[in-house]
Amino acid sequence: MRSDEQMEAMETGEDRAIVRALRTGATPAPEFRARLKQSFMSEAESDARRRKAYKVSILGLPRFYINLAAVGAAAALVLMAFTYNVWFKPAPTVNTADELHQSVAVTEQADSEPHNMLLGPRSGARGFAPDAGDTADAVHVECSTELTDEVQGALELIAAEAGGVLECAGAGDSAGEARAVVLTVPSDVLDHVLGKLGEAVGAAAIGRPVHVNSERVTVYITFNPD
Amino acid sequence: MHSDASDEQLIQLHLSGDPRGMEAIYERYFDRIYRLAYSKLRSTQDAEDVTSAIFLKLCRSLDSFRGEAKFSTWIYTVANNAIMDSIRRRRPNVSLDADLQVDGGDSVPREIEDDTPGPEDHVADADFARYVYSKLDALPPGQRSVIELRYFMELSYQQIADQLGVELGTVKSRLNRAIAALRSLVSTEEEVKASAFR
Repeated sequence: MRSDEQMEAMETGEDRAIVRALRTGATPAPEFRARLKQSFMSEAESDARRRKAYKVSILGLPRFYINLAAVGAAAALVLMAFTYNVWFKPAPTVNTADELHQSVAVTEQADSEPHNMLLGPRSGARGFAPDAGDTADAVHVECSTELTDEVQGALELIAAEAGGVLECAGAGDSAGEARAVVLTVPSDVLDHVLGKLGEAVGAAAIGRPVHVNSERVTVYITFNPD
Repeated sequence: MHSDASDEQLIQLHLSGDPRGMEAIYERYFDRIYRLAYSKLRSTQDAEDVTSAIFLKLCRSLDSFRGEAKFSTWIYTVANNAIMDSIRRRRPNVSLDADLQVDGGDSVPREIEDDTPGPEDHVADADFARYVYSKLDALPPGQRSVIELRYFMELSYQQIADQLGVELGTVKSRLNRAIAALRSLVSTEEEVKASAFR
């Protein structure tokens, strides 16, 4: 292998003219050098600025997009803070008060109708039983007979069999004044009680109850011989 | 200011946003790239065009420089590709052996335009250099590559060996044979000048 000294001797010896021609032969014009340098530096400065902007960005994304993402995240947080009650509202439940109000309205409507008219699809129950609360189902029974001791005894017997309570509601001391009693019985025996009433007191008209899902039913019995 | 910095340090300086890195690169490589371009194109205008194209695209091309090779090796490859593209664009697909057709069906031999200066035209060093350059095409590719890397790109022997993937001794022997071949192709400088003054 040739040593570096041998190579240097070759380049500086008899072949120096050829080596010098190769090294210094093609010389670019100074005007071209200056003109290209100006253009090149313009490109280099532009490229350097671009790279500098990228360098300060995250994950190679331009700073513009980073700022845009930050502003968007901040806006989303503010929006969530103002709409907290919307986003984190508890799951909606049955509006019991509205449903009860609707049921009462239906009850009032039913009361204005003939008492022997059964409630149909207009009950408003819509597949669930409304909460009766303090409201009890009521049935109005009108009798054309007088409230005699015998009749009252029969009523007390019916109340006792049904597990209910019998109370006198009206005195009726003067002639022609109606007398009334109130019979409170469990709702599950109401039909049986109404049947017994028809047999015992000869009820002229029996209103059907409005079902508000109460445990007990109040039966108003009016005696009006006139 | 950055004359002592390595190529890679200058590139890093540019990548960090300081254009002075590329300014030093320009000063360091402008002559080398131009010489390489001229040696293959042997036209001042074409050499300037290719040199301009190489440098003006250099900054954006830096993304493909991954630092796995030395910058001098990388830019040599980039420049060679640009020069070869220029040669392909410049050369029409016309066979130089084809004769020109003239009226009457006769053909006359095509006169090949050769702007390579002959020995009698050289009266200065620059002319002699162009004459030497014109003889580079006669060298085998391996020897020519060594000439380019050594005298145009100014690489060390070891860098040339790394670039070509050969042993250091192979580089030196190839260079020696290349110079000897050029010597046989070209008269000595004194003889050329003497022939020019005859």
